[in-house]
Amino acid sequence: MSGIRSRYSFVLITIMVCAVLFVFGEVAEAADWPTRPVEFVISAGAGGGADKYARFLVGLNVKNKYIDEVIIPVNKPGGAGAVAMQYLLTQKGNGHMMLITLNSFVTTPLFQKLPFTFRDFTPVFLLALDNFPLWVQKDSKFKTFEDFLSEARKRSILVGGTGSKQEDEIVFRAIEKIGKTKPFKYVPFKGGGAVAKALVGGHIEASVNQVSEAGPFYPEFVRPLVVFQDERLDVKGYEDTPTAKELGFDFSYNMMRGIFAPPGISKSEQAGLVALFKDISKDPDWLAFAAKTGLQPTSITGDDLMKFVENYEKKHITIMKAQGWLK
Amino acid sequence: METLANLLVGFGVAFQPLSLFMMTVGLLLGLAVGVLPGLGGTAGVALLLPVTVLVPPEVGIIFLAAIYWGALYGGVITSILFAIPGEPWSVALIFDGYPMAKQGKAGLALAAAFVSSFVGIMVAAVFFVTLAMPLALFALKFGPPEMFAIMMLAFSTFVGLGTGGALKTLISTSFGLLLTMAGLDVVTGSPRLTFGTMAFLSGFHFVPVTIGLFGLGEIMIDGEERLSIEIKEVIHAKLGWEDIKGGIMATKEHFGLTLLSALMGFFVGILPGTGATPASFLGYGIAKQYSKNPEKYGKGAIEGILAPQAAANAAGTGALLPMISLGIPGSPTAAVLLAGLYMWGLWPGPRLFLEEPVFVWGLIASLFLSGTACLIICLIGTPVLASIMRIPWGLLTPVIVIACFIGSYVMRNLMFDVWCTLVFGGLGYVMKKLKYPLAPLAVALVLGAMTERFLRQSLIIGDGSFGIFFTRPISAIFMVVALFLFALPAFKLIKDKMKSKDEEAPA
Repeated sequence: MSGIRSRYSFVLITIMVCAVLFVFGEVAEAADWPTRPVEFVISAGAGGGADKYARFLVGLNVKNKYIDEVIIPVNKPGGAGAVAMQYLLTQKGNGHMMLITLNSFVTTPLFQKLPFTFRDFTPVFLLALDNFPLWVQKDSKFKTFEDFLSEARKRSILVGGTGSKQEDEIVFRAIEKIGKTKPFKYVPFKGGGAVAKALVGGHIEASVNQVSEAGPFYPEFVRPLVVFQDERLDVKGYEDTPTAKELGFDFSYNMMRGIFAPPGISKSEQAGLVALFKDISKDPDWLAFAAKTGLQPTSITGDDLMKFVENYEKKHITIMKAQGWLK
Repeated sequence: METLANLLVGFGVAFQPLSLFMMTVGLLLGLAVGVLPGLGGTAGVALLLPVTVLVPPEVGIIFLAAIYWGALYGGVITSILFAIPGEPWSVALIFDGYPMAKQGKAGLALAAAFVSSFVGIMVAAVFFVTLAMPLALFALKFGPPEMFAIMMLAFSTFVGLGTGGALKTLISTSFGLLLTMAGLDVVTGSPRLTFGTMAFLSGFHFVPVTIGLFGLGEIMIDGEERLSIEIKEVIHAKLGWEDIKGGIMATKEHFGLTLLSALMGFFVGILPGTGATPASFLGYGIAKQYSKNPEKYGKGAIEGILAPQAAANAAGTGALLPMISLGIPGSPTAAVLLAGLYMWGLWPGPRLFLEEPVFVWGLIASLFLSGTACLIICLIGTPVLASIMRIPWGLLTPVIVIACFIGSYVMRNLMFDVWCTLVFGGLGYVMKKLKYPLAPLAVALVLGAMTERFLRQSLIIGDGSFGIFFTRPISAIFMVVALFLFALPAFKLIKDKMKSKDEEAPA
């Protein structure tokens, strides 16, 4: 009896010691990170969509010193994110580097048939999910999403978005497919700002700009008809914008505002990065920005993040195959 | 009256000691950033954006804007002295500025560039004060077809630019356009002309290419000349205050041209997604087209400095207008400033004027102050800058070459760009030797990708018909003018032939 007990206590003590070592070891190691400036790779040029987010986050660190080292934004534009991703792959094991990602993180390797996928990178943090409302001009004849759909079934409506075969076009092609409309005439623009400008100027009939891009023109110039996500936008002035699902249109799509690191970094470096973004995700300025632009703040990390992205990949493969973009 | 009161509030902000201090620091940083090739105003603003969280937003934006003005002024320095564009929008300054420097008129060229920069900024600032909102709304009327027509206008003004005849110009232009094709196709999103490499996927950026073509190319030509002719002493850049007076006088003499270029530049600047670079080329091209003696251009004509520089700076300032009044950035730099606005918790857009008058009018007032302060700093610095040309060639050149390579790397942090500079340096040398004009190549490279995007967007909107360019009034006007300019050399050729026939006939 005593033999069993002592064995139990031995196991227990071992577990406790291990746990204590684990916890403190982790803390001690995490405190070792960062030992030098952290490079923040941005897959857009200075002033591009992802660039604005990244620099905003860098500013938060300057203000509140979440880490003592500086974060240096490095622009690696080109190839719809391919150049930046390739760069991260060459920096295998560099724990002082991170990449701000969009959905192109999933779609670019698929579409361009690149020799890598998102699985090759180390997951860090998913900061938020960004929205895709459908915008029309203020005095547009489309009063509701149903108006828009019924017209789209009669003729090819002229729409615009950022880039080609990227997020915005994917949304419009999905509307086409699910709503059984005529193919949209899709005009690719260089960035979200240019798209919003084209919509306000009347050069296109609709866009799927994010609230952060088209919001400044609402309600003076544009208005949202519907938002393609599960929940309504939690932003003042957008309470009455229905979700697509409410209207019986089964399509929901978001932009991942996430952070990934190069392959093969150490656990403690990964933990340090995660801790940094956990802090940022609670920053009042960040939360205020999110509230104003209808971002849904999230805090998904590690394996959960990988699973999340995997689901996104599945979703994209379905849409892209239906379009014949993938074989 | 209300505008005046607002402007006074703005000056109140801009004249605060902290604002003045940050503005001066910003201007000096901007000048430095502008001088370094590759490290442009956009990068400068982006790098220092986080610093601004430490000061109030209205001071922060004045600081960032000052960096931007500094870079607008500073970019011309290396263009004129070494044929290395410090900024994309100062490529056009090489065409006449560098020949002037070679003739020992570096100081005059610099002074003229600074004074015309000042005119450009001031013209833009006046519009900012008076017509910000209506102009921003007008600019929105310019869709892809209108923008394509403007690009055509820019190309058309460059017909017959440089030496070497029509065929060589055509080859040079086509090669430039071909280079812009590598990378991702703007409409289908598929990689094209990449030969399966990751390097080509990023495409050819015109900064490394122009640094190579002009900067390295010129150095090689220069070195060869020195070796063969054994120039003991090049013509020394004259030092002194006469140059500054000369610069002011030149601007005064060509004030009409400078003012027109500034006006044109401002309107191009507020259009969507163009920025200062096309404006500077347009300024140069138009000045040359309407000159009574266009053959002077490219050999050190002072008008070839005044026009593009006034246009570029007016455009650079104009690009901020849609950002402030509507929340849509007119240029990459403006976009970075926009990120700053978010960071400060401001919501850019039509309501910013009403909700944050101190912020907006502080910025506008700082336009006047920064523009003036920068002019003074630059003019004082001109003799010092010109004296760089007195450094022995053997000492100066290695430094320039190193700066060239660093500049091409920092633009996009790509080693590929460094190789580009090297290869295009060799190409620039060969092209110069074979008398191929480099300017058309540079213009095509800078405007090519933009032009293609506008063309293809227009064709999607117009169901594939070129009619769209002629059925919309604004684009129709520009297109007709552009087509006329394209045809002009042909007319001239026929006219000359007729003339020579007439002359032959009596004999």
